[in-house]
Amino acid sequence: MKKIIYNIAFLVLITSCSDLEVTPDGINTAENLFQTERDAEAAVNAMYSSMQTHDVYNQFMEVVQSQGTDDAEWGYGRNTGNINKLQMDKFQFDASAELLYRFWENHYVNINRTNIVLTQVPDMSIDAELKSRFLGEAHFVRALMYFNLVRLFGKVPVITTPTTTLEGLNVPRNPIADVYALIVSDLESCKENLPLQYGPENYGRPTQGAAMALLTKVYLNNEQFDEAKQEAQEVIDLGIYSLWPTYGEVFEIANENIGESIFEIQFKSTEGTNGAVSSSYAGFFRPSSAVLAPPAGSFGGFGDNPVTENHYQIYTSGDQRKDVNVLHVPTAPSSIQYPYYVNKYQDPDALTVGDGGNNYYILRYADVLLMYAEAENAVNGPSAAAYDAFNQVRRRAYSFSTTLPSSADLTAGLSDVQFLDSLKLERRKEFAFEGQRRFDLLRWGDLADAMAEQDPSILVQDRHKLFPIPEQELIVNDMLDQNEDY
Amino acid sequence: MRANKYIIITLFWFVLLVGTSYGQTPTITGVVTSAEDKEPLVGVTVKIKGTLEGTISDIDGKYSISTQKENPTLVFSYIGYETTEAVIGNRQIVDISMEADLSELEEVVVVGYGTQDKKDVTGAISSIGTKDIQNVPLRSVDQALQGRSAGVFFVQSSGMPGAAASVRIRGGNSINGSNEPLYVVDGVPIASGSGDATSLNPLNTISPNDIQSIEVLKDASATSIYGSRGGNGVVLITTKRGKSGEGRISVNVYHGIQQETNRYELLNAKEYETLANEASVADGGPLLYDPNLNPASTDWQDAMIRDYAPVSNYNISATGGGNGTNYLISFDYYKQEGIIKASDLERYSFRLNLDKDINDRITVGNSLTASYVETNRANSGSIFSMLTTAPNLPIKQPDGSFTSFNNNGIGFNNPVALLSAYQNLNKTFRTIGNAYASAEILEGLTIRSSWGLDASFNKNDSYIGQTVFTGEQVGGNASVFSGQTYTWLNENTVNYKKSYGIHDLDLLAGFTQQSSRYESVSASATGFLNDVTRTYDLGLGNAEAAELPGSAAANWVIHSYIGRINYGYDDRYLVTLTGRADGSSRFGANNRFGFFPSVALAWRAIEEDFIQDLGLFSDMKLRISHGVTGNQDGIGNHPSLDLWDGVQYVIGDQIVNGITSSQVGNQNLKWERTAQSDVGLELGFFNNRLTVVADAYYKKTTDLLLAVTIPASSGFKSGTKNIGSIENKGFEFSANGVIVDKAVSWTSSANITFNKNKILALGGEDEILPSSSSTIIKIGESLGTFYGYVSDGLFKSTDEILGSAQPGAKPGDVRFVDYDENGVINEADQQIIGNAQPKFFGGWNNSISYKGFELSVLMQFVYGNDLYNLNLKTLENLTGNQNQRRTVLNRWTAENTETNIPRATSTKPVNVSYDRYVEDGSYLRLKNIQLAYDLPTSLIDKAGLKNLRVYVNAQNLLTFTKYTGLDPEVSRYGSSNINQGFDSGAYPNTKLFTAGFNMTF
Repeated sequence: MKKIIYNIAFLVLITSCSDLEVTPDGINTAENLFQTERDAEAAVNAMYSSMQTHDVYNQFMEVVQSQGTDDAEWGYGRNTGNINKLQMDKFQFDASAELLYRFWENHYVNINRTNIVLTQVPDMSIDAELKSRFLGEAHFVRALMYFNLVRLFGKVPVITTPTTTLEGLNVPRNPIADVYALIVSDLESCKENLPLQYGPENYGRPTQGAAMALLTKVYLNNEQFDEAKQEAQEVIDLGIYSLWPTYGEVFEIANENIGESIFEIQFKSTEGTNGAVSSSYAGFFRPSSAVLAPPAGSFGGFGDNPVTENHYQIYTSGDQRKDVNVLHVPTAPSSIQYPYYVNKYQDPDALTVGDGGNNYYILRYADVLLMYAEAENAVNGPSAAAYDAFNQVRRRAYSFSTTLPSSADLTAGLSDVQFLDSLKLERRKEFAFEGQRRFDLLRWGDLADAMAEQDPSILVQDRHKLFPIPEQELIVNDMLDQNEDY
Repeated sequence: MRANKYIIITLFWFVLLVGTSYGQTPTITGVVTSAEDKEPLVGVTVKIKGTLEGTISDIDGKYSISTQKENPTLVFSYIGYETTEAVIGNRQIVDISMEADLSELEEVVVVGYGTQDKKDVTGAISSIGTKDIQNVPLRSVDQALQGRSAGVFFVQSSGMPGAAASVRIRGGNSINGSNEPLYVVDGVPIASGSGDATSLNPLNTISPNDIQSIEVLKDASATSIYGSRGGNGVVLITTKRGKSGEGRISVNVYHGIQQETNRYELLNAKEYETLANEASVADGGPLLYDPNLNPASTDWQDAMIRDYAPVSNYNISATGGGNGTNYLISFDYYKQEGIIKASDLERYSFRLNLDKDINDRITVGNSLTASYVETNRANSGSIFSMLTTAPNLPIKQPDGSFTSFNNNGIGFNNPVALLSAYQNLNKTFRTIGNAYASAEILEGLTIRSSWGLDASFNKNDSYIGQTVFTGEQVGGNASVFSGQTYTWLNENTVNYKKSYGIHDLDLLAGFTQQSSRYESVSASATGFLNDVTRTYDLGLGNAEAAELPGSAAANWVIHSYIGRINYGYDDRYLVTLTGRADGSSRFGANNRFGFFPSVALAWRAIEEDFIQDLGLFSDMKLRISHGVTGNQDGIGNHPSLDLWDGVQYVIGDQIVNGITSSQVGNQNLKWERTAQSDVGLELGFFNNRLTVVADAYYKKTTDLLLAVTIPASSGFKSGTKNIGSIENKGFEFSANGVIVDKAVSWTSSANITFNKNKILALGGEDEILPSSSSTIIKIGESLGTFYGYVSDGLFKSTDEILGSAQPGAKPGDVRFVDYDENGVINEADQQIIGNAQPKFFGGWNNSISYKGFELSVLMQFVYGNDLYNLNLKTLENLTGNQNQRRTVLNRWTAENTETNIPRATSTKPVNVSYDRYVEDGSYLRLKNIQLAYDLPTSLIDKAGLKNLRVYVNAQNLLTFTKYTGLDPEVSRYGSSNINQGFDSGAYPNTKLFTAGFNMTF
């Protein structure tokens, strides 16, 4: 009997020394985040991260803006199996395009990240100035993402709260006006929250000027020319930004985030060790070794995004932009019909295809000047102010002083329509392969005409002015509707 | 001294006996009958004890035997009867009546948390005993399952030393979770691996020589005692233990060689250059190589494959017992060189199993093994580049350095250079131990408590040296990884066993807890002065290019309550009720505990008079079971939590860290749940000379943890939910028979399994296309379904192209079928083009003995599965950039149009999945053939030996298959249920020839 008691006592003693509630190590959860300034800053930094992916600014944006317009095409330089790029180039895309889905998805990944910041940070007890900057950054990134979406897809769901549950995620599209209302209010609040400038340790974050320049673009896009002109004027009046003396300097890695720069997506060469933070454009755009033997120690690229004959022909002699923008390889094999390659974003120190340190411009001062000229022309006709803003950009391209009259100056006495036509061509040269072309063509209603000019076999239809809502998204979200004729 | 005296006396008697019996040959005759029914027994072996003389009883049970031996003793043996001896004296006629031997039926089977008499088992369990695997040179314990157990589909997915195998018991239940069974070694559930071809097998650390038996638990009655981890079946591995009696020392040694089973026939340099020229010219390019030259060829396979790769194993063990102490101590050394140079495995293992009766009520003991395994793994890409590297490139340049640039001037990792420049060395020290104490506190009432540990320490050193391209680029690339896992286990059970007349009761109840913690650190560096220090001084690397070290930790806990009731009525009707309640830290607060019950009924019909009266059966049992088990592996430790992950960006030209939500939490997550029904019939004929087991089963798995696509506008593409359902139904049949039992004896066992897998629900979706793979998950289809375009030969002329859906094609291009006839080949034209799941599989094992010889032959087969030969996507791409299989010599040209190999073109073909890569993967293989010889006792006695067996063995000697790849037993992504049956740069499987001996003294 004694033995039984001992035994039972033994059994009782050994039970349960471990707990089923396991706190995960090495993993953050919502419970332990958003305590300190550094938490908040990390959440803010994360907002920029997915803009840096291939799915947004590190590849697809150029596919959409260059291959999807008259500036570049698919396939002549590089025979990729990427059917989406072919479809984009030939205007054969439909709702099933994976590229569009990923483009859409990553914009919303970023929107969710901005919503996390905008929801979590206001209640944190951290330095007030820093808090307001963090919120300003989030408003800016959210506005930029929605501005891309609304221009490319039209009506989209407007989501302003972070996702914390798997339920209730089906939402309808909001009217275009709602999307713009959010963009404008986000950017307006940036103007209050963001600083004018940062120290070098914070280069890459958006400033008041960036918000104003983006707002200029929004107004211009919506043909609110008075507001656009006023915003552009404000940016100019800040006196912070100035054109680099030559066009080539605009794209030097040493000149990133200063001078002409207003807002850029940041990339950094890491000697090939961290493809996630470096630019792929050097490798993608550079011709392959079969076309042009790379210098010793360097590498051949993919020859992606080859430039069209139509684009190559727009430059007149003396225009520096021709060689900065395009590389012509006359010695290319005969199988390459048009051996023109994008020459921007070539980091000489890149070790591998995906190792470029070149930033990708979202906004620079030349853009503000040309936006000003365009708005001014729309409001007051081709005034002296419009001419002046235009000519600053033009003169620099031809290596003249931006402040003195030059032989490259735009012909005086143009009508407002002629002025606009000149400005359209100027923008195409100035911002080639900088993620502007499709937006510009859409804004001007010129997409179909431009494509017809470049390749008459490409038929651009009305529906192509917007991308289709991705099929995968329509399948899982039954509250969405499709754009017309898709 | 005393022993010597005995030997002398014995020898003296021996001489005397031989002398006196010389010249006499008395004949003894008689009839052998069964004690039960007095019927004569046919085929009884009759031997003179201590000699090799013997005979067999005839159809009337009569026998006749002559001997010169004085006063002989006859030994009568017969399957199913107790061996009987008869001292003859001076008798001439000796009739014998033999008693039926019930011990055969009373074979003991290991079950979860205990053992059971085989006759009382109500579940579906296959056993593999020592006899089946003795002296078979197994690379790891799980290899014993192949072909030897019904219901078990085994794929050794890679021939690399130490590579994991993939095991499916009665089909796969899960899409995202693990499908590997739970392995329990001497009561300790151990961490099992992923089964992936490039990962290491966790069972490497256990010496196959130590195995007493392997039980495969298949139906819910057998597995539900393992609850949330029993869903994929359970493999119980029981190691040998000491038995009371004289101490024995056993030595088992074998040596062997492996050879490649097959080789891809590739182009030589001339043929390669011709193709490259043709491809270039076809696209308007120049001739790349001078067609008039005759370039030297490099055979990259010759340079990397060993002609033969040695294997050796040394095992020594001591067993015995007395005074209530039984022991087994063993030491094992195994070394296997890989068939690809610079890959190998070495294992040292030690085991101590001890049992001690403290008094007549309390027993304590332990099972303990410690092992150290060192593996050198081949570079994962080198096999593929061995096949695809251009044959007109030399291995080395004239200056003696390795070739590092291909014909296009692009740097590549020379696979031969990798042999010496690449190191991937893994060292694992693992100890698995389980100490127990049990006390019988009242008659039939036993309590048992055990504490177990599974601790493994792992260090991995990998280095890419500067003599290969990528190593040279960065100045050597060194990474080290160190991980440790400790899992401890505590089990406390109460067992009550009692018979009341015709009522037999066996009750089990218990509480168990298991907890595991994993921690790792890793670091890497590049930019070394030279290759001397490799991974052993990372501090010498280039600080500027240094990456941050990594570290990780994870833990999980399971608490479980178990219970089982076995009730037998009159040895005829058996009932088993089993249940386990598992609480797991892995699941959401709302579903932390799960209950997994099962019920089984069995009817031992052989006990019924009306069955006995049929006279046909010697055993008959009908089993039926139903129950529920779960699966919680392979889905991570925190699937229900919201998780945040680090991301990076660049601010101020510095990389800055960001953090963001990477997983949306779901507190409602719970186990995947498998309900299984099983009906089994066990029959014995001819006094159990022939036994047959047949089982039919139906398994339905619900609450599958699936990544559900959610609207991307949420910022997430998917979330994990319990939706989705899969069924497996099948039929297993196995038979064991003694076909001949005379001087020659022949026993044979065969098994076959038919399993059909079907996807029933996918949470509202009809199909899921896994990204970047050539498979489809579709309702109504089975897992492992290949998906892609269907080809219809090649375009023969421009006329054919004109009216087709591929206006851009040229003659000699593949023509695809435009299923929807919309004039375009697009995703809608993709079809199901094959399935990796076999229609049936099985094995047939034979053992033939004559005198001391024993020949065993194991055939193993798989039928009706397809393989997706991804290698062909490159080996037959015809671009002239990579080497090709010789089949491309029959490529399409204007002169050779009757072929299905497309034309050469430097334009990389669109990387589509299509039916040409899918091949029949059925095969029949002579898995194992072994000839062993037991030296006669008379001979070895003198040397003081109890047993000496010599043997030769060949594995994978012959394979019959239509598959054109290296080996049909392949699965690159072994563990994945979605990507089964892919052959992609697999490390080749081998034939293995061994010779060895087994000695006991």
